[in-house]
Order: sequence, then C-alpha cells, then structure tokens
Amino acid sequence: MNTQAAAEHEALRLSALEAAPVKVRIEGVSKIFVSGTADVTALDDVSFTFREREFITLLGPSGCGKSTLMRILAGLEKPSAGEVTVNHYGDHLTQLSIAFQDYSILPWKTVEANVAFGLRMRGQSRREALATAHTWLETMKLTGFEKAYPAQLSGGMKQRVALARALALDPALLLLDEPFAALDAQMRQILQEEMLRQWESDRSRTAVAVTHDLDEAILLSDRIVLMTARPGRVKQIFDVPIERPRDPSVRYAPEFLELRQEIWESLREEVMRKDKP
Amino acid sequence: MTNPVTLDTGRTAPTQGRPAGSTVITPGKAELNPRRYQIRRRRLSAVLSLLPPVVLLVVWQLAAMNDLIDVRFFPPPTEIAESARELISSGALFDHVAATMNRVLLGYVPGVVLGIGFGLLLGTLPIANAIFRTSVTGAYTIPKLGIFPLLLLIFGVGETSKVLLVGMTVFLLVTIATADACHAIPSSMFDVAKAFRANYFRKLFEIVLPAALPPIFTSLRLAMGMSILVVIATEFVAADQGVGYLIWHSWSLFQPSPMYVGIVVSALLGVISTAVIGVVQRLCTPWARTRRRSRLRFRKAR
Ligand SMILES: Nc1ncnc2c1ncn2[C@@H]1O[C@H](COP(=O)(O)OP(=O)(O)OP(=O)(O)O)[C@@H](O)[C@H]1O
Ligand SMILES: [Mg+2]
Repeated sequence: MNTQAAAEHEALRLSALEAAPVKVRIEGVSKIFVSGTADVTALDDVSFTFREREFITLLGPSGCGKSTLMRILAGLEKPSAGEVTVNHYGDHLTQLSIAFQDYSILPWKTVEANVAFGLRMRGQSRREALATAHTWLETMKLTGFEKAYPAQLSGGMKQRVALARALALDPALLLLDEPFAALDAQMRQILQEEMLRQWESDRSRTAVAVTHDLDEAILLSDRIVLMTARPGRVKQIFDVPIERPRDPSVRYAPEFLELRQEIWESLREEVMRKDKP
Repeated sequence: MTNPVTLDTGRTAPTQGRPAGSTVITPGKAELNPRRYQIRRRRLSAVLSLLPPVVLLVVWQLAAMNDLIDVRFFPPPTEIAESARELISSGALFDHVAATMNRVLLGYVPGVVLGIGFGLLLGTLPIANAIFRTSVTGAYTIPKLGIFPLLLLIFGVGETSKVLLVGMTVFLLVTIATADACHAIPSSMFDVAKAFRANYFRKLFEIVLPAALPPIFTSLRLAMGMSILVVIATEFVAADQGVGYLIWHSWSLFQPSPMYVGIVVSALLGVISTAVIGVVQRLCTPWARTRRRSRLRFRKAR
C-alpha cells in the first residue's frame, strides 16, 4: 500500500473512532485508601474519555493505581472524588465483565463451572452456560481440563480460566487486568494474537486492559494511557497509528518500534522515580 | 459517513448517539468522609445490637402490666431491675459473679493453653493425629455434665471438680478446632517453610500458629460461652455461691426476680468475655484487620 493510501485509510479509521459515541468518561477521579493513620493516594485527579469500540491500554509503574482504576470502572470500588460515567449501547449479553489480576477463580468449582459462573449468575441454564464455557476453554487451549479443579492447574492455566470467564459473558465493556501476565512467553504471544484476531473480527466491544508489556499494548490498542508513578495521574496519551486489521508481524515494523521507543522513554522516567511510601 | 465498522456477529451496530442508559459511579458517603463514616457505622451497629433485648423487655413489661402473663413466673422487668439493684448494693451479686468467673478462668486458661498445644501437635504430627484423634472426638462427645457426678465422687464438692470440668470442656473443643485449623492451611504456606528450611519449631511458630490463629480464636469464643454455661450448671447442684447458685437458690425459694437477675447476668458475662476475646484477637492478628466493609451486599447486577 502506498503511503498516501495508507494515510487516507488511517484518517478514515481515526475519524470513525471520533464519530463513535463516548463509552466511558472519567472525570477528576481520585482514590485515597484510608487505613489506620497512613492514607495512600492511589489515584490523583485522573481524567480521560474513551469511545465505543476503542481498545484502551493502561500503562504505568507498579503501584500507580491501574488495578484501582479498573476496580472503579467495574463498580467494585467507589472513587474518593470525581465521577465515572459508563454509557450503555447495543445489545450485548452483559454490560461489563472483568478478568482480575489475581485471577480470583473459585477453588471449589471445576474449570468449566468457573467459566460458566457469570452466565449462570445471569440466569442461563446449566447446559447453555457450559456449552459457551467449552468453546471459550477451547480458545484458551484448555480442552481436557473442563472437570479439573483450579488447584490442579498451573498459574498460567488459572489465568486463562479467568480470561475465559470474563469473555464468556460477551460484555459490552471488557476489563482486563494484566490478562496475560502469568503466561509463558509463547502462550502469551499466541493469546495476544488470538485476542487481536477476535477483536478485529468482532468490533462491537470496548476494552480497557492493563499491561506492563509495551508490545502487547501497541499491538492491541487504539490508544495507550500512560500513568505516572504513584499517586497515579495521566501522564500522556498515545494514539497508535497502526491500521487495522493488524498482522502480528507488525511488531517488527519501524513505526511500531518507533512508538515503542517513545513510550518506553516516557515510562522509564516514571519507573525510575523514587517510590515514596 | 457510512458505518465503517463491519460486524460479522449479526449484531446491530450501536454506532450513533444516545446511550440506552448509563451508569454513573461517584463517591459514596463512605468515600467522601471515610473516618466519620466508620464512626457512624460503628455507632449504628452498637445501637442496632441493643434492639432485640430492648424490644423483648418492652413487650415483657407491657404484657406483665396488662396481666397477659403470669407475673408470679414472669415478673415485670422493672421488678427484676429493682431486685438487681438490691443485689448490687448489698454486694451479693458481685460475690456471685466473682465466684463464677474465678471458676471459669481457672478452668478456661489452662484448658485453652493445653488445647492449643495439643491441637498443634495433632495438626502437625500425623502420627499423633492417628493415635489421639478418635479418642479426642469421642471424649468431646461425652456430655460433660454427665460425668460431673463422677468428678464429685472423686474430688469432692470443692472447687476442683468444677474447674476440672470446665478445663476438660475447653481443652477438647480447642484441641479439635486447632487441629482442624492446621489441616486447613494451604500447602503453599508449608512450601514456604520447607523451601526456606524452617525447622519444626520455627515452622510451628512462623507458619502454623499464625495461619491457624483466626479459626482458633473462633473456638476460643465458643469455648468461653461453654465454660460459663458449664460452671453455672455445676453451681446449680454443688455450690453455695456463684451465678448458678443464685439462679437455683432463688428458684427453690420461689423468688423469680433474683433468678432472672442471674439469667441476665450470665448472658452479660458471655457478651463481655466474648468481646474481650475479640479485642485480643484483633491485637494478635493485625494482618486480618484490613477487612473490607460489607463483603456481602446484594445489589442489582449490571
Ligand atoms: N485495599 C487497599 N487498601 C489500601 N491500599 C491499597 C488497597 N488497594 C490498593 N492499595 C494501594 O493503592 C496503590 C495502587 O494499587 P494498585 O493495585 O491499583 O496498583 P497497580 O497499578 O495495579 O500495580 P501493579 O502494576 O503492581 O498491579 C498501591 O500503592 C497500593 O498499596
Ligand atoms: Mg495491578
């Protein structure tokens, strides 16, 4: 594709995103954890907006409040100040689901029952829920472990169960807190590509993901929100000007590497900053 | 512009404008002023906990005043309060409580210490568990009051028999709870001990005891209630002082008011001693204190 055509295509894609309605508006969100005498400011005046069908990645040093922000988006925690508005459109099975950083899969349920859990809670029959669960377990390369208990799985396998549980709900807003962190490098790459493929074939969702993996962030996202060291603020927002559908080999394209370098320099500054308790 | 997004799922493309609805997440009362909220919550729950007894007393009082119940057996609470005032000012009530709590603590403290020790032994040494477990379970099931006559026969009517009965009750309960708590410790924590080469005693005090402590404290609270119960029951038959004696003696003299004073006092003793154990528990398990409020809250799924 010549550069002019590519630029036009890209402009079209971005204007499509511009035209999409706002999915989530985060306005001046702060979160202070009060415990005993020492208060911890996890988030400090965070504001940004993202649109329907955007894939957003949160990037930032450890402890900067990424998980906290995800928990607020999921309605599990309330902000100390500010406001989050989540708009609902379309006809997804559920408005929202989340894959937790620590998996939070239930040890007393089998793998298939864990994946079917959200669907069962929404009133689906056992059969129906299990059928969906099985297709997702297949995607996650967990066939054969349907009846196993989580204690019999490796860390990476547990993480895939948590991921399947979130995806099985077919959510309008998908929240992924370091979904691939516990996976081995090969499985991580395979699932990133699988995620990319599914994302691009079914562009009806909005997703917010947290990761520490720059390649993963660039490969999957439309925009990357870089946060400062704690207290977490929005430092910079990067557009990812790589057209979709993306081929996994785009990882080696010069524009990819250039963006990666740019993000890394900004992130590095935050990581190196002395972390005050 | 035409819809640029192709969907191969057959869904209608939700592109334009108006949301079908939206969820707004804002700070709640708990977030806006966390400290005041916590104090309020604590105050509210203290008030709520008084609700059942207050309602009971009010209903009782009204029923007694309107002759709906036989006041010979159920004197109105005001009369019971009067009796309590007399017992307090004469110092008799204090003596009864002191006698009862003395017996309770003499049995409870050694019973707890030995029970935790023996429970840890059963919980960490499979051979000890194999030998003693069944016997402990069996002994636990024997009604303690059923063997009280036997103890009276051996030790006489003195303090020993009562204290021993309390000690046994507590010991068996705490032993079982401690051993079970040890068995429920996730194996990953033992892996830590093993990987970092902790010897048996280090493992016991660095891993097993802290991990088992929360369920052990639950058993300590239950055991406290049972000790008071057992002592009062023994005082019915073999004592000339104590809350149990007060209850039984009043009853045999057909003085229901002091009897009810004794009943209420035994309930208060249970509440107070359990609260004290709760405070000790919080001091002993600081890691378990970062508890989220309202774990179980039912609300509409989104
Ligand atoms: N329940 C809590 N009580 C007290 N402090 C908390 C709580 N949860 C999080 N924090 C604090 O808030 C800060 C942000 O935590 P958070 O888990 O959001 O970080 P994160 O960006 O997800 O880090 P990571 O990349 O390591 O997962 C941390 O300093 C943490 O100590
Ligand atoms: Mg996190």
